[in-house]
Amino acid sequence: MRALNPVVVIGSGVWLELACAWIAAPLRRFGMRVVAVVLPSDPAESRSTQFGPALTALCEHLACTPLSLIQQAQGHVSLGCHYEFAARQGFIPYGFYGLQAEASEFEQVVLRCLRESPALANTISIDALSVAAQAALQQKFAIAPNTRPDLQQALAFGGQMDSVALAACLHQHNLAAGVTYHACASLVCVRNTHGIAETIKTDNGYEQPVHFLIDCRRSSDVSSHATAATPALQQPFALRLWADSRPEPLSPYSSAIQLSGSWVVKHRLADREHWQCLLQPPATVALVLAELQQKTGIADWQQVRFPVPKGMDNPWQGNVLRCGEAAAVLDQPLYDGVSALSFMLPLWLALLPGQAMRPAAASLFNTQWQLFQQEVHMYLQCHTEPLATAQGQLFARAGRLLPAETDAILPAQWFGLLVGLGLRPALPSMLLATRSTTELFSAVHQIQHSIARLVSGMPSYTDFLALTRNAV
Amino acid sequence: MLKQRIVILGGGTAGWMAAAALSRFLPSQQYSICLVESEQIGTVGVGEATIPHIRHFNQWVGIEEAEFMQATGATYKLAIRFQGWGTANSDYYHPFGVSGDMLNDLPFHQVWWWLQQQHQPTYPFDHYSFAVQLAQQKRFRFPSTDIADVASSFNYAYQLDAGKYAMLLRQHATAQGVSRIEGKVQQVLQQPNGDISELVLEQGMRLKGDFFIDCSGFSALLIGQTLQTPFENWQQWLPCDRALAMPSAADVDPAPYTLSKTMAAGWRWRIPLQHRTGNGLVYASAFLADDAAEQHLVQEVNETGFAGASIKALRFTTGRRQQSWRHNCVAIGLAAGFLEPLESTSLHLIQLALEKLLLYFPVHTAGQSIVSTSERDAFNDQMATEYQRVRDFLILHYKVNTRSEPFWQYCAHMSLPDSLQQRLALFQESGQLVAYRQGLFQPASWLAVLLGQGARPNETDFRLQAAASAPYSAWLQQYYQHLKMQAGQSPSHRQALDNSSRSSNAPPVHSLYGYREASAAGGRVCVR
Repeated sequence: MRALNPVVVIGSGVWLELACAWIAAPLRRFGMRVVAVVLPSDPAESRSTQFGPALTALCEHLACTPLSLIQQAQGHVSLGCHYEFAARQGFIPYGFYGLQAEASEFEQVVLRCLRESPALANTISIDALSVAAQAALQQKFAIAPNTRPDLQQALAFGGQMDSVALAACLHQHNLAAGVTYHACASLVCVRNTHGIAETIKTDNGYEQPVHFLIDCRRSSDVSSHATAATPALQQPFALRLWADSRPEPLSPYSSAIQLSGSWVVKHRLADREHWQCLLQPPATVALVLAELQQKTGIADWQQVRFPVPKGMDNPWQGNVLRCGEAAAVLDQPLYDGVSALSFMLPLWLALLPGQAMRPAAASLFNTQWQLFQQEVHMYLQCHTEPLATAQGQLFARAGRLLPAETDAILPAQWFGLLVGLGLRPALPSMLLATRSTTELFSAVHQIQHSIARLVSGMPSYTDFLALTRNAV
Repeated sequence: MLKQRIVILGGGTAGWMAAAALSRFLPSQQYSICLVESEQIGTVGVGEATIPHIRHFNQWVGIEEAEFMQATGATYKLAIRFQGWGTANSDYYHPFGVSGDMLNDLPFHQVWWWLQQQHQPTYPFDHYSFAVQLAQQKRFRFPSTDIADVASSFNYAYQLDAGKYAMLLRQHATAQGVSRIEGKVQQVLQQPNGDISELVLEQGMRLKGDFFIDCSGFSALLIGQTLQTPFENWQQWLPCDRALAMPSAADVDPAPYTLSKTMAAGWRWRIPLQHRTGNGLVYASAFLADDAAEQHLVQEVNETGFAGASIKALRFTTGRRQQSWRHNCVAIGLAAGFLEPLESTSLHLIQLALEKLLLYFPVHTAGQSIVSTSERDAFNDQMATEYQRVRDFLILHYKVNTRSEPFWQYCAHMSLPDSLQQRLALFQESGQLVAYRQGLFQPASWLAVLLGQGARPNETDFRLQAAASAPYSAWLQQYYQHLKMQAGQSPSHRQALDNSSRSSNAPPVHSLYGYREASAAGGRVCVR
């Protein structure tokens, strides 16, 4: 057996630890080492992190439960996000609508009811047709047993966590998985004549040969000496505004409020609520601050200025994966960069490079990343101008979603968002054309009642937490 | 209230599948459906062999399996057996099922290839498939829905008489209110905006419509001749352009698989039905003269029982219309595109187009059918992807070969579409294949063909470097014996056909490979 050099992960904070967490245990099983080179923390890193249902897969790697990770990371579970749009409110769950994941045309049944009888439609709330939304809005929570995979999907959850605490927690897991750490202020990457990264050299004299390099920095150029962001003068800057407030009653979801030209998102953490808002140039900060105060009641907002990420369409080149720079462009309050990393790293692992040069794997990876990125961009754009997107246009016409090429956005998220924005399709479903509206209303009401009954039997989130703490 | 008038042009399998599906879902108070066909024209009768999705279609349009088996003279189909593909003496199956299981989170084929590299005894890759074991022993049973059972690792389809199937669909469609008009179209009239408004038949009858479905076959009378939709020619990758078909007598002991056997410039099929056997030849006229092809087919069929029937000849160009839906007209079946029947996809592509058409069916408001670009683009984009991915899979069969004949040499050296080039490069590099989100043939199918035709990745999975081969080797041996024994205990295909009035209770799944593959929980084994 040939001995391979380690996979070297560079970066800082939660992104570095998350990258190691995805890959360390699986690689160790096959005798491969992971070395983390830790650079000074990045001021652009968000102070809270929102994970979608990919958290469950991560926890399988870590051999822990999502709940224990969330608790150690000073967070709360999240069944989705409560939105305050400009003119309406709605909940966007991770779990599916209705009572069966594969229920044929359920969403179309709902849309037809909403469309055909506005009077009766008042008796139907889209949130009441999602187990997750109902549970979240009633501050209830439960984890479905393994014997009920349908309920597990309906109640799919992620977590909202303190970034520093999450990084610390992942760090412990990574140490246990054999990751070795070296801290430094700066580093250079030595490449051979073919551009292949061969060695990492740090300012404090550490040298590490590289099999593969995973670069988690938001802004990086591994061929240069620079480490901290020192952007060129012309580069536009973004502004992250953040504030903390005292915790409200425990709720298993995050919240998003629409502002005039942006969004503010609230993550519920164990000891506080963390608010953040991202401003892209040329937003006027004073106006946003005034609107933030009006919408949230918080006057004191901290500011972090950082270069607008340029994005990266081909993050895997040679034996380097620049996942940080790729993820940074999607790291917005409405979509967390950890979701992008949680797409890239398992995919990289699935294409596990036994040899340093894997052009076909890199090409496929980059294609998949571009699809992922497109789907997230379209989702974000839909928040403000849905009819400018192919997804919004198709939904407004036929109430259907474009086929997804990745799991970047789950179908329930698309449906919740588009219906939440007030879109109603012009065309009815022909697959339901022979069914009477009365029959469909009756079916929807039955499902609504079943969901209400199911949720009424769930414990409150507070009781759930108390029970699980006692159990521990 | 004015009814929306839907006119289906063409009464082959595509036309009657469309009629049966639309009449099943569109309320008769709002829609009238009329199918125009001419007995003078006849039909191509594509698709005697099918894939498992047809079970879903039959359920969708309300056809019971027992009724279907009897009416269409169908047999069960578990696989396609490929002889001479890749190398002159190759003989492998592409089953509706998977080979092996995930072993310690490693794909089965990686372990299998690694054991071969370790000089450990292994059987051919397809022998680790339950469907193949059944097919080899000419046995059949219905799949299990219990993912712990190896019988959950396959699915099944049918081999059927396409003409009889069209008749069955016609009975269902007409019973559901579809009217049939016998006639040949003389003229197609359009509105100023380009929409088709009416068909003028030879006998002078004028047939107005709001929405037209072009099932006119290769002539593509509406989508091609009238609407001038460009045709995308794929012949540089799929050079066969002729087919011959002739029936022979039924087998006493029919095989539950379709046979595809290569020849110097193409391939021949053999499809056993209950009442006859379908035979045919697909070849490239640039490499084989028509009379030589005919002679070859007759000779081959004579060896297995010539019924003295006439030979039906067909000329085609592989490819598809750039848009299947233009204006108020959707092309379905051969009018939309043609891919040779190598993987029995013809009826599936018709089914898929109908499913998608119903998803995006246009409204009819104030006497006007209004189609917007959104649903039309969605339909066209999705159908384009489906056709392109089936195309790539078909090209694969031709590309991966080491045969010496000029036709096969051409195929071995032809350039490939980028989408296929990328997939093949990844397999060559590391033996990996990535599943499609949209698209019929998933890695299990690609592996069956690649490994069956002798393609091997450049390196074995590096994660196996530290592994000991003995436990894996033992697992494979045990698994093979288990499959063989289980298959041996199943009824013969003949018995299963005799009992086909008692159909399966298992609901159809939208996977070529059965319940285990469709379940996230299935197919993971720990080997120590």
